[in-house]
Amino acid sequence: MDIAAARKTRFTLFVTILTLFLVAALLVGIGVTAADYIQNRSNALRVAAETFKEKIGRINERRLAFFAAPFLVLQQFYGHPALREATGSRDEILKPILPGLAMNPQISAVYAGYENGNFFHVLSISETEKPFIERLGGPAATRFAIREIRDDDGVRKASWRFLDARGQQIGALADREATYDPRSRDWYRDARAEPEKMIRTAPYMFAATSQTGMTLSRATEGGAVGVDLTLDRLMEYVRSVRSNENQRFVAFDEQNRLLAHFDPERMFKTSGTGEAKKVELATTADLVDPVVREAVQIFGRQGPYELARIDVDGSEYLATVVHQVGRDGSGFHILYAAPMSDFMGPLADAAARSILAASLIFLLALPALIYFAHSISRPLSKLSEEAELIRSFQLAEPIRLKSRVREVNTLIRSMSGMKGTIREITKFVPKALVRELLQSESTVEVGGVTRRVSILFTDIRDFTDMAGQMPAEKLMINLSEYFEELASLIIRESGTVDKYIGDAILAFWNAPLPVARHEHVACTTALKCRLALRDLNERWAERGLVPWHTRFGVHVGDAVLGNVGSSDRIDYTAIGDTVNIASRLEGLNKHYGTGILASGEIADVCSGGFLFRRVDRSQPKGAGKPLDVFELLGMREGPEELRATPDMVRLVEDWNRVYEVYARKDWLGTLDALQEFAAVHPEDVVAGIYLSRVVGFVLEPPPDDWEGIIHFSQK
Amino acid sequence: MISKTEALSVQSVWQGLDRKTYPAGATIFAEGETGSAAFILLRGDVTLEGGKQRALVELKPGQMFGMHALMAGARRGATASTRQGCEVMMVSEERLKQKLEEADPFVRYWVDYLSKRLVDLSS
Repeated sequence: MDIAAARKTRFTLFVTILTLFLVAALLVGIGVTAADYIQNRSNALRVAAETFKEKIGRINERRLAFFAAPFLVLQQFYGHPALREATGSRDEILKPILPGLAMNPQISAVYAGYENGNFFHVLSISETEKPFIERLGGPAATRFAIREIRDDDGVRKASWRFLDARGQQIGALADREATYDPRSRDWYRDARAEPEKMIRTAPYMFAATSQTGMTLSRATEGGAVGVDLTLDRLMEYVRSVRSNENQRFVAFDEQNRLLAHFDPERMFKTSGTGEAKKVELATTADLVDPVVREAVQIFGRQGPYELARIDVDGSEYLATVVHQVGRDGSGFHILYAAPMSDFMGPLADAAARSILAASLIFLLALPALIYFAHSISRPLSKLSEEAELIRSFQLAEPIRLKSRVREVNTLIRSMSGMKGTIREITKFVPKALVRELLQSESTVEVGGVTRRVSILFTDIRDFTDMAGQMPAEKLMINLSEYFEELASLIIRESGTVDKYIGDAILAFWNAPLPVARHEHVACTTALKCRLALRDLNERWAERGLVPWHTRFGVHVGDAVLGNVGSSDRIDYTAIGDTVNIASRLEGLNKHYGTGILASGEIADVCSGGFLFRRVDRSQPKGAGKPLDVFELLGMREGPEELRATPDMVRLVEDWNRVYEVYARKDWLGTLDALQEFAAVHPEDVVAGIYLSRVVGFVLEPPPDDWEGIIHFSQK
Repeated sequence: MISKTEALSVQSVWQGLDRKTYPAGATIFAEGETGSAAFILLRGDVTLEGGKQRALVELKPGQMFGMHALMAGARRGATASTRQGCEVMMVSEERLKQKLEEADPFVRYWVDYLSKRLVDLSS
């Protein structure tokens, strides 16, 4: 792994999977929200179109209902015989008319005007007209007021009668000067101008009551009849169609004069002040509401439209303008506008709804997600731990994992197999070597390096003889037990078990991995092996088995360490004289009756920590240099079972005295010394050899330049 | 099971070897005696005197004498004595035979042959 990669933040698989699920849930939430919103929007447009149709339908319904009664009343007036002549009593008509007025509060008055200036006027007095009657001087209980204007000999006079709700006269005003002349009024002139047509005036302010309204009028033979409608009622009536205050409607005629406005105050515009103050009907040009203005502008460009979207101050509105034909045959337009939000929730609402739903789903699914994420990540993280174990070479435990995910399961099986295989392979090759291979991630190639290694060579005394006396299977079992004991000990002591040669073991230290003070470690291991084998022999003795005695050779020196073999089968091994000498030392035990023989090179390094006994200087056959041979007896300090006994210390002291004389080549003196030594150590074998040798030297002394080297002809 | 080449303890090596000291004028063995041991002169002097010629042989330390014992039924062919006193190592017949047995068969045969010839010549 390089450093740059190691610096990057790494997430656990569990977090990654969970995050993926979370992101997916979030994206679905956003997607659903967006889709919801888009769907909502197109729904909204459809709903808006329908709503507008319905609203306008209702406006029309109300309009028609509103106008139906006035038309009827006007019709009654128009055809009534009592009104045909400009003069005469009109009381006959009151009977049918008064109930009609009483039932239709929107009708404020009905009247007939004549060419001669006569005028018959029936007013319906409601709360709003009361001040007018009061000013006139009529009774407070007046429900209907009747004004008649007559032109008697050029003098126009008006008379008032006041009726209560039942039609009974409760008061009257005698002739007064008449200021009103029907012939000068728009309703009259317009009706006369188009005799066959029902005329509807534009809204205006009524002369008698100062109320705003409009007049329906129709020409008769000698004049015209009219009905006043108060706009208040109409407006109130129509405004109630709106669902809320933000919805707007406006009606205007073909001259763009307003017929209706959602805000009645805007129906009229005033100009001038004081006496010159003039109240005029507003037109579409006078509209101030930005939504309505925008809608009217669109209308101005393209005429009536079913649906248009208007943006005003960041808010969206929908508007429609439809053309209508009134009962009087005149055309007019109804504009209706409403905020988009009336037809759909705002985006935030939709998003909130969808995200809430998505979150809810996610929360409900969370345990399942965690379970799934775990089922994927847990075996993988365990497996990576296992991989680390393999890397650090802990192979004892088999992998016990299971996953629901097939691929992960396959991976676990493969890895388990791999672990087992490596475990098995390590039985054939040094573990340290495999560990090094695993850790260095290198490949095995033939080749070697020269390195100073300590070598331990072991062999079983008289194994060949014992082998012949034992069944082969039993021998193999015993041998395996023996090897297990020794090899595991050597490996524990950081040694590399190179190979088994029959009953011999070749092991070394300081390769492939460096070992500090490897000479000491090799000596200690030899002593530990001796101890372990003593225990093993005790166990075997209990089972009735013959004990095995092992001889050891310890040497240190340069050896070629490396991979030897063909490309098909490569052994990591140590080659060189050093190995041969270790083997030779082991063999010399047989001659000297010793257990552990070490070379002078070992003794040089380790004599501080271990007790050695000088054995001999020998020149083994085939070996280049003479070999100083020492017997390793025990540690100078350390665990008691590995420590040299006082007897050993004494033996070495006694022997050193003998050797001193021997080294002087004083053979007779050596004989004396040996005799003395034998008295204390009668069982010593080395001394026996020296005795034989010195007796020989007495008979045939070695040459003067002899360096104490004993030549061995046998291996 | 101990093989022939198995190392022996110093104690067992001493067996068959015996160090003896003789005072001045002492006789170690006399001509005609039956004796089964050979001797190595370690210190001092030994004179061998015997045979038809009454030959006199002066021995020095490190020399072996009395090897006739190796020859079956042979008697001492000379008298070994010391003038000034000596120290010898006596090598038993058994030890001598053992040594001979350890030797190469060719050498053994040769030694056997020579000793027979010697007996023949001296009788």
